[in-house]
Amino acid sequence: MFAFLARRISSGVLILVTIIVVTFGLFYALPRDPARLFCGKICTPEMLAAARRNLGLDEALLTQLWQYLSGLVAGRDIGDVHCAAPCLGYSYITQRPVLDVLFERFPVTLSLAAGSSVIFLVVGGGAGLLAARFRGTWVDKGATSFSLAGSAMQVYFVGVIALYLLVDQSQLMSRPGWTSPLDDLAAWFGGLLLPWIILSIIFTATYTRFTRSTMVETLGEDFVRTARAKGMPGRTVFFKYAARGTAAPVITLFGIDAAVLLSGAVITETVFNLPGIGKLAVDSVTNADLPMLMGVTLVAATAMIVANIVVDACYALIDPRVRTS
Amino acid sequence: MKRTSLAVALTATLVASAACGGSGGKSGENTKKAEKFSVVVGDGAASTGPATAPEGARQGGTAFVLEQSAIPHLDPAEVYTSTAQATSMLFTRQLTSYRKVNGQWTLVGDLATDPGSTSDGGKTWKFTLKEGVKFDDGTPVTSEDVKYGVERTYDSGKVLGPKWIPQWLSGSDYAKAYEGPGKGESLPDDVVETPDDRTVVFHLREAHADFPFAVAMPYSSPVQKSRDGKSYDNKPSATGPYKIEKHDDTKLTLVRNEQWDPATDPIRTAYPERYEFAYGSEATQIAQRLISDNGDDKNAVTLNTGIPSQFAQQVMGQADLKARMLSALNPYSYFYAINTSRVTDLNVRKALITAFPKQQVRQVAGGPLAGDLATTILSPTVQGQDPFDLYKVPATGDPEAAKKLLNGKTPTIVFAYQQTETNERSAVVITQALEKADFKVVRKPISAETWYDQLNKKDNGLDLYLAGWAADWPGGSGVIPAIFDGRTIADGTYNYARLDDPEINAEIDRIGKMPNLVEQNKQWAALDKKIMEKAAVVPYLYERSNRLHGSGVGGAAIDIFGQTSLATLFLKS
Repeated sequence: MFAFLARRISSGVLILVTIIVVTFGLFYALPRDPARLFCGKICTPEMLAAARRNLGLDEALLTQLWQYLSGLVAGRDIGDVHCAAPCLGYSYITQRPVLDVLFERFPVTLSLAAGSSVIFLVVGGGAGLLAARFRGTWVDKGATSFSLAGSAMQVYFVGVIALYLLVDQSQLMSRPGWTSPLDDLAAWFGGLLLPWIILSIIFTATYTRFTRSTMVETLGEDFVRTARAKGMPGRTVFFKYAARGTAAPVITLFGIDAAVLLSGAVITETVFNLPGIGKLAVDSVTNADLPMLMGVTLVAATAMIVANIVVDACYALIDPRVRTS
Repeated sequence: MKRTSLAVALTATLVASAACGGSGGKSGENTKKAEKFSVVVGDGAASTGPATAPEGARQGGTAFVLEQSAIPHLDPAEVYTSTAQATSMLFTRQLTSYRKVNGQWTLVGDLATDPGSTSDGGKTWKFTLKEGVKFDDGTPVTSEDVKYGVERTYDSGKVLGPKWIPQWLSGSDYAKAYEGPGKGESLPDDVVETPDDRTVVFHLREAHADFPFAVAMPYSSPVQKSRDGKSYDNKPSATGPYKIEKHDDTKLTLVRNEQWDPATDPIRTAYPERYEFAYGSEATQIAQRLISDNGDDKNAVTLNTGIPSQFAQQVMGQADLKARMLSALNPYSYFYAINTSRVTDLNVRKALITAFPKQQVRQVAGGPLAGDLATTILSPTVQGQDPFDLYKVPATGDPEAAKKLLNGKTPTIVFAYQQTETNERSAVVITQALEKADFKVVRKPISAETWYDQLNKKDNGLDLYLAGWAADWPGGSGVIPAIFDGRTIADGTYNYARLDDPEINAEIDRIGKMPNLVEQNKQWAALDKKIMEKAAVVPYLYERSNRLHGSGVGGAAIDIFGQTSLATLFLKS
């Protein structure tokens, strides 16, 4: 297990470095000059050069890349301020340390991801299991049609309609927004309830379908038939044997979804005005804010790599067959 | 104001109107309809508080402000965009500011007793601070605090604020003359002088008759040295009627500043007990909430969000909504720049102006709600603007007259436009109209993200493109030199038409030095006409700001930069 983790983590670091290099390259390939934003109304070439110097953009691309990478490991001095490791630099726009902003934004994204995951795993997984258990009955048909409808929905449509009907017009639900759970737990819950529900509707559908089909497949496998034939109670066969066999592929799917959610649910965060990582990503692209963009990219990449490692580790825990292979 | 807000203005505030039509008519009608919006310089009497109370005003309540994006800084040295200024005015007072006196915008003293005085034709400017003005901790505001605030604008770390004051005091490489107060040094007395606690004297390098306007922005406000530091940006000391309770990327909460004395303030009335700004909503959601007018949204306004096209018909068609809409011209003037370094034949440029279908283009951008059709470079909001119409072509374009000017030629025009919905639709209209006049049009779509970078390259390879400008104050000095001085042409230039004409350049130098501001502004308007004679741009639109507010809001108006003004706002219940 240790060797496995060591191998995966070192390859993860390699991927991160590659992503940093590629993002740097892509950013500079664009015909945009962030220094323009900081040059006064009457922008003389000297003032533009001064703005470039201020932002550290006057250095060669490779030098900038090296400074960034070494700053991550050892910290670096920017102007007359020392930025301690891991130094992600300062935002061009707000001049705040990127790391501080990421720490501020991440709880929002984490709350959104965690809450909606609970809903879609329980409801989606549950509905899938029920549909498989009562295959062909109205339960199955209901769950299947719900999932078909759900997977056709989009946040930017359902979200806006829900906001209009449930918040603007009838005021049945409180307005989505972010409050730290440390400040006010009830406000945190109220502000996230609608985003959780809307985001889950879309995911629940996928999980219902996926759980149902995997479960149906597993129920048809030899080991299940053998267990039944030996007279094991139906409930034990269903939950202990079949459901466990279904868990592994569902967890794989969830691993990837969780990583995507943790890198920021861009549309959901935008529609419901939640200041998370996704919204930050959009803003940094619009503002040509390279340090912030790099920070967001690193968060997304790290989430993806960590999720993959966790999924692989979970596999081994759930399915003894993997452990031995 | 800044480039960023220009982009916002183009994409966000142009609206589609149901009130289509407009007159298909002759030019000239358009300029007649443009409202007069200019500014005069007030006196000591106009600078005296308290501010005039709007009818039905009452104290109390919490006002809500719904915005698309947060303002990145509260530090007065870095407040620049018009939205940031409209926000900052609640807690930051500056040397001068604007108020309406009998319906006429007037520059008055805000912290100063009057809008400044000069004894030598505009090189030396003296301001006297009012008595009884205090910071929110009870300390009286002194001339030293104003000087310290000015010193901070030299700091190379304060990149986002305007730089007129340091540039005029120490030249465009001002950072070489003085690095800001960080190292403990102060500006010498022959630059900024404080002979006593209430007097501050600025010694400019050259005469600038418009200096009182250049200090009508938050960067001229006093800063307490003892409270300066890393956290100042998030909680600057307050001189206005409110102080900051909480500020981050998502919200700004303001509470009453008990040290503010309404008797010293000619501009602000400060009726609401509290202000809550909420950042991060989409434009459509803000409009939807203000239209729905439920709960707290009854007491809500938006500073910067216009009326998105899908709501325009509803707003214009419903009397109760129309009554809750504020509308006024803002300082933005838009034109289609002709690249004179490529299109060198004057008759071809005149033919472009003659064939251009500005009325149809405005229809795509939202009709009359978007703004008034332009025939000049300077907007009617600029002091001294002359609403002339040099070419007298119909607003729909006149292809036959254009053909005559082309005299059988069929020139090729590279027409560039941003890949946004509105601009792509108007590109079709423009291409068709120009082709009707026998131009060959090569269309060049450019992504919105890289638009300015491609456009502002010295040799951009383009002939015709939309550009706009709004000055930092309503005078010609902020417009013409910025966009038509041929000596500024370089990569990153704002001289969109690439016009480098010795006669125009010489006029810019001459007019800029004129000591009398009223006379100076008349001359800028005359220069506007001269540039139009060179057919360097196709004037298109004087932009209009349209802002909805909740039904519980009274006393709201559009401010001089086209944002909702919170100066005399009150809540009805």
